[in-house]
Amino acid sequence: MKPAKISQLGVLVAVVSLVAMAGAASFHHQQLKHSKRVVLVSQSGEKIPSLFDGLPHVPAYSLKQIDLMEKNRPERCKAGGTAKQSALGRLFGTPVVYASNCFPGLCGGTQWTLVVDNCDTGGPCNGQHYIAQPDPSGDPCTGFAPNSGHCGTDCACGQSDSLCTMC
Amino acid sequence: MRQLILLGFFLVSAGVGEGQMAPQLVSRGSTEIPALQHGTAGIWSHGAWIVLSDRFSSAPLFWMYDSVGNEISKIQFTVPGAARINIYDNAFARGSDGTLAVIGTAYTNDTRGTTFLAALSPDGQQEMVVRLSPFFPNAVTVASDGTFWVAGHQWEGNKPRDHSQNLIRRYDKSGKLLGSFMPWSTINDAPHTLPPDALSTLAASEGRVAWYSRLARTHIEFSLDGKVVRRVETPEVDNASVTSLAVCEDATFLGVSALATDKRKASWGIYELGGHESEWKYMPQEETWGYLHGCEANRVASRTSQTTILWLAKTE
Repeated sequence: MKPAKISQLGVLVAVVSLVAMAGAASFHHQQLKHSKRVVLVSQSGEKIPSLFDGLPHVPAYSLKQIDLMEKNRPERCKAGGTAKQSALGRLFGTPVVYASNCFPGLCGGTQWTLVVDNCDTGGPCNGQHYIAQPDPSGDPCTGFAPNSGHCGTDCACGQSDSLCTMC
Repeated sequence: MRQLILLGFFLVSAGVGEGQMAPQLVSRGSTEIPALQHGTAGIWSHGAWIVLSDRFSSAPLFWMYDSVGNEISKIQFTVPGAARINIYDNAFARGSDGTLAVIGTAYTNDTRGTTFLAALSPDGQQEMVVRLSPFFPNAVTVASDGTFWVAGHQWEGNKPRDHSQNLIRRYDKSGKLLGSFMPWSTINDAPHTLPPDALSTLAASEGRVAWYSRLARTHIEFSLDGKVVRRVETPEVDNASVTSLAVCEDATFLGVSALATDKRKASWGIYELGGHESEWKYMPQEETWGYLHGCEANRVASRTSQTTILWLAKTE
């Protein structure tokens, strides 16, 4: 057999092997993907075709909207902030939710939950703190307020949040 | 100053002023773990350290480590149709057979969403997911009989809160709701307060389930059929917050952390409630922060650094 023929045969064998390997990997991947058995049920234990079957479309459940909630989290208004509290609010200390992206320190936002988070950026920034997290399925009366605590012993380390109620 | 007064109160109430020995926990070894990173959570359960990562993503990951910190397996949690899954605190627990219970919220990429309870087999190959909406789950545990206990509450639009609803639900292995108990009205139905299930914790030991409501300052233990067998109010903790619950064979423990502020140093301590006692005993700890992650028989898994589980036990 001529060297050129041998070379062509070698390339052919290599290509066939690669295709076979890719096919096997894909088959294995598909098998793994489909070997997981998932049963979806309602609270009465009846099987449902999808966890989301029959649920309404809710604009607030848009993933973009959820990301925006997290990204544009309200903050405590700075002194001389953008919004002034009403006379009634000043008199009774009523929490006020402003259209602007801040609240005056008492409580703000709705549908927030709290998670403990770990921080370890070195030195005094080592420990835990609490971060409010938005969820459009969350309690409509639950907001949050930044508290005075922080992560680690350095005051500059991650501000800590507390839950509070707006109702 | 207030903390010193508070500490003095606890020491007196613990009997220190009457010549009794102060309760204390002593070290019973340690386990090195991979560093807990930003955005992760961990629990110690039935001989394994379980870490959750990517908790707000389309496919959260559970990492399992053995008792000496070696990785055993990992389970990627996905729900068909879900493009985002959110798993908060006190939201996963492991049963004695290795089943992993998970609660959270799930959303599609076409604006539908629900809350859920999921049960994952130890190898992750079998998954059962219960649709819970409009019930919002805040804590979960697996009882010793294999049933799933979930603390949460529900509401309807802008209607006033329904304080007659039960806050704890119990599900069988197939996801069927077996029953509910603990009416909200028996905990705290004062207006302008957060729901008592928010930030609450469930934990199980043989034959009982404990629920701690941080906001209602109440610790309740149930028999497996849902009857209250013990109810203890917890002392008001000034400038500190109860962060974690661990139910061991002979006692229950609460981890309390006071974060540092510009006016005070960080500190932490542990409350202990003996098997048949009705008063908590406070044990301040030396480190600046700490967290309880569960129990192994009579040892508490505590963590005061990102890389070590420190085992604590009561003095003999």
